[in-house]
Amino acid sequence: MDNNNQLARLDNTQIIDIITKIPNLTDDDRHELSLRVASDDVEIRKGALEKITQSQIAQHDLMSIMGELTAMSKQGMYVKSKQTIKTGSGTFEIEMKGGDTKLIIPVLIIIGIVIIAALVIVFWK
Amino acid sequence: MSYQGTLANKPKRFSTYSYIEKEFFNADRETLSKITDLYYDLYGYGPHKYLLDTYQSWKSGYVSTSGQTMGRIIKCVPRYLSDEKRFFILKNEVIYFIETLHQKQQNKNISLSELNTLFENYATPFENFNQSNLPYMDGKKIFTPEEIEQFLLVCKYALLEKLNLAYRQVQNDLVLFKEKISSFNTGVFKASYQIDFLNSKIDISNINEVQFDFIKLKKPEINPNGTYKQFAEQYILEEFMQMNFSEKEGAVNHFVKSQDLDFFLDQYHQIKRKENEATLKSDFKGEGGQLSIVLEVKSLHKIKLLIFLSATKMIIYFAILIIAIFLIVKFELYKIVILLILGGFILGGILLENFKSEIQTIKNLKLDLKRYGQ
Repeated sequence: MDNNNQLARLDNTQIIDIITKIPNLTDDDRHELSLRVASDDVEIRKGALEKITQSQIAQHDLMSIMGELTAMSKQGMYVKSKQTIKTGSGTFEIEMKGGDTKLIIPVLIIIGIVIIAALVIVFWK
Repeated sequence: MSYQGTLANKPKRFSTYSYIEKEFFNADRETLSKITDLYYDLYGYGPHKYLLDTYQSWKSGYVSTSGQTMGRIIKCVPRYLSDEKRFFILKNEVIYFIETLHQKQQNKNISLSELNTLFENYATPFENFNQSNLPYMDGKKIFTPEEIEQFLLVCKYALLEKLNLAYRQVQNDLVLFKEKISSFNTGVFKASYQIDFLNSKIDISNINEVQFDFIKLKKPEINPNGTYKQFAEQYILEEFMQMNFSEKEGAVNHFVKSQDLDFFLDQYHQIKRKENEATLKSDFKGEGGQLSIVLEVKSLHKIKLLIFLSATKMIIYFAILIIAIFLIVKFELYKIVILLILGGFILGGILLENFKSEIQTIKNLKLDLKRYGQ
């Protein structure tokens, strides 16, 4: 189903047709119901705009964060991050790790040397 | 025009007893006279005199009505209420019962193949619903059987229309999700879908392996008539208004969800291209429910490296085992019992255990390679 079809479903013709076909309604009733349909319509369109805006903000925020993470990764840094953002239709949580692990290896070697050195000093005699 | 207590509003338990009691004590002189006359006809002189003598004390609250007396009043009053008020009582009684049935049908966990059965089974108790399910109405001659039957038909009609709408909305959500996730292998993602109308959950992690076979649910025809025709039409109209709102709101949710899903999956592909690892979790409000999805991104390069590491470890363990056996035989270490126990059983056991564990790791990694490799 494409987006145009989706938005076409916001059409009010069907419900207006039902209201018109019920014989026992007075003109006032019909008018009141038509106003309610129009009011619901405004509420739905307002909600739609809010949700679309929320999604766009979320996408923009996340793309900025991902851009920064990529830049850090390119600089040879190991990156681990967790982000939660609110979209128009719910929430989006992304937990990522990556980047250049080469940095970790020298760090681990240094830590290992320090530990061995400490053990040698303690147990030398 | 007043619209109250429809199913979609989820009404609190309506008290017919309180409503009729209030109507009784607020009745005008003429209506009260009709009620007391009927009371006389049904229960005789004594109870009628007691009713007249005590009416003011009941009304002011000095004396409370007994269960028996109130039961008799409840039987008499509705017959002299306006059609609108009588319909209001009937409507609330029926809706309360339907609401109770509706809740009994909720909170189920099903697989995708059971979806059609879930919706079909939901409708069954409503189709069999009749006047005997309304204890307040049954045998009290408050409403004629035809009146009750007419309204039951109206309620069933509205409910089945809602069920049809919910089913359509769930179909749209599932079709959209399958369309978006079709390029993913089963096992790469975990997904579930919570149906709003039935408050039940479907596991849709295997959606790409299932061919949808949606059914056509029963769609009843109705033509309200009788005393309450006008009110029944208003009730149906109110239900239609709410369904119309729900359908349009669903269309918006569908549109937003589609965009969000595209963005979500785009992030997945970007992370994958960069050979990073990630877990992506998301909830999407759709037309008829909420989709929850967890996607794992794994680096192929890392998977291959881990397979290599596991294979190397296996070779080392194997080599140690062979060397150990060789040394034991060469130096006749098996003659030393303590060494045999320590080396042979404990260390040998540990080596074999590690060997087995690495085989399992390689199997899992090969599965990951197959899942994430495409």
